[in-house]
Amino acid sequence: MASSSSSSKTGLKKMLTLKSSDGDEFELEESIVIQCQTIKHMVEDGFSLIPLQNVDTKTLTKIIEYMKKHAEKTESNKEEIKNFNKEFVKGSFDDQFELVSAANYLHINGLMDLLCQSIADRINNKSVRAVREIFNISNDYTPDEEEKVRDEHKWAHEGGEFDESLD
Amino acid sequence: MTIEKKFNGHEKILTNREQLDIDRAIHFKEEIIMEILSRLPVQSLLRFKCVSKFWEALISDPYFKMKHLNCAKNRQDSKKLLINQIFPEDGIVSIYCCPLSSLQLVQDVQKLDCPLNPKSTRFAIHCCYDGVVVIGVRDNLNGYRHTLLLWNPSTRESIVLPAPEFPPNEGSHFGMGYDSTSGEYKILHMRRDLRRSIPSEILALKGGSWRRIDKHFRGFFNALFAMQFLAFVHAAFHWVGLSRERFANGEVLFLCKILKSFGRAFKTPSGPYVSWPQCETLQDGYAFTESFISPKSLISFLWERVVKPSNNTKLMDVVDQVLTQLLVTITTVRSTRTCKAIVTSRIRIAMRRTYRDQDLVEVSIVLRMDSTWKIV
Repeated sequence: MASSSSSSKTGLKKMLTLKSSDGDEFELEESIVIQCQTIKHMVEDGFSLIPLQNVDTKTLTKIIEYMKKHAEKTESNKEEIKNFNKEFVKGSFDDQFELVSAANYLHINGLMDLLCQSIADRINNKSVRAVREIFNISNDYTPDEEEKVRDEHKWAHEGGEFDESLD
Repeated sequence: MTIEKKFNGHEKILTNREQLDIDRAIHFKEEIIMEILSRLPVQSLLRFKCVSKFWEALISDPYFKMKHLNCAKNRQDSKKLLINQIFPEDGIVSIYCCPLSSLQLVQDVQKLDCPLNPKSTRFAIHCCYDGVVVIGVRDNLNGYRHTLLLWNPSTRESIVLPAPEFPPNEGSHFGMGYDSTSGEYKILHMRRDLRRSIPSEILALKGGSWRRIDKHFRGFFNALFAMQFLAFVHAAFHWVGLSRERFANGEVLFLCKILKSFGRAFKTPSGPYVSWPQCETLQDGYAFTESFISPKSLISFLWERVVKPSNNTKLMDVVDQVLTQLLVTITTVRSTRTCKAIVTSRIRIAMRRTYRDQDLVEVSIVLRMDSTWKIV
């Protein structure tokens, strides 16, 4: 009954354990983990072992890397964080989608923003066909229907070659 | 052991949470896709309507359009500059659009077709708000008939607006803004008028007709120098007026004193604006944030706005915002009546005026959306 809401004000750093969907456990300081809103709420509910069924070990490792780095954020290391972010968003689309799903599930706003912007920038110049491939979407238009949608904004399809590559 | 116990003790809650997660997973992908797409430029999104029916529906959704606009307001690369220019070879006025980013200022200039017939008409850009632009088209062949259009240069959609009661002329100034109390966009039309004889008028887009505003400031003039449209900040239009009198009871937004050597300086509560680097290269540019807002939709229906302006903003924020909007007024020196608009880094504009032995005071005058006049 009296378990929750008396967590802080001890001199010791409070540790939390995150458990990935593969069963691996990661012990972290509470101060790092509460960047994540979902976990923060669970901590407030009195949890100290947090099972994350939607996040596998590979993704969780990356997310912890992000949270650790961003917990160090100060006025003076802005450039360093910027470079870290730049490196962080490199990687295949599939990896980015795993991360963005996890960031969305965990409610890490900064990471969500970073990933969505990076994905948007990467697909901005892609062809429609490439975007379908990347997002694994099957085209449900009939050729006539697609032509009609294209004709509504014909100019948007003109002006240069669009990128067909999938990376 | 204790952890284990705790965990088991909360088992029921956890399963509930899991159930929630499963429920959420159904809407999950849509949510993420919307987050990603709302960070793309309008042109790419129009292209991506061809990806699938689901993407088409999502991109056309009014909620998505507002989300996209709110995202675009925070992104530098969705800020564009609209310029109209007469081409010397053929005398035809053309509208150009380029990104408002120092890195790309020269490249990537896009020529836009004016709605209506581009060949036989002359037109002027009047004002921009939320990515929608009011333009005036004058048809020389048709008795100088003046048509006002509401145009979104990013989606290239447009509609014809009702004609104002007082035909727009060279001295006309327009402003557009969103009235959150009535939930609609409004357009204000004012004419430069030192004799205060011509009323201003306001058009509520849903209502569809212009309404005359007969009241005038006492002791102020709608000088409207060095600006092209009325800045819209915190639910009010702002412009610079002139007065021979001191201020009434209202707060002073810009107080200017005549400095012997410089003529006039712009002063705000936090101190005078010092000298700004002068920009001579750009003329008659209009900055706007690209948006998906369809001009048609403003008249037929209106969705709830996602963001509401906050009430407790500091005066300096207002000053900055007004200046940011006025920055689009990039004018160069005009005739002997020295009226300079000087721009720095596309953030602020300050004005320096010289009037021979006149003790004029500059103030910012606002017209609130309910059409009451007020000095800020």
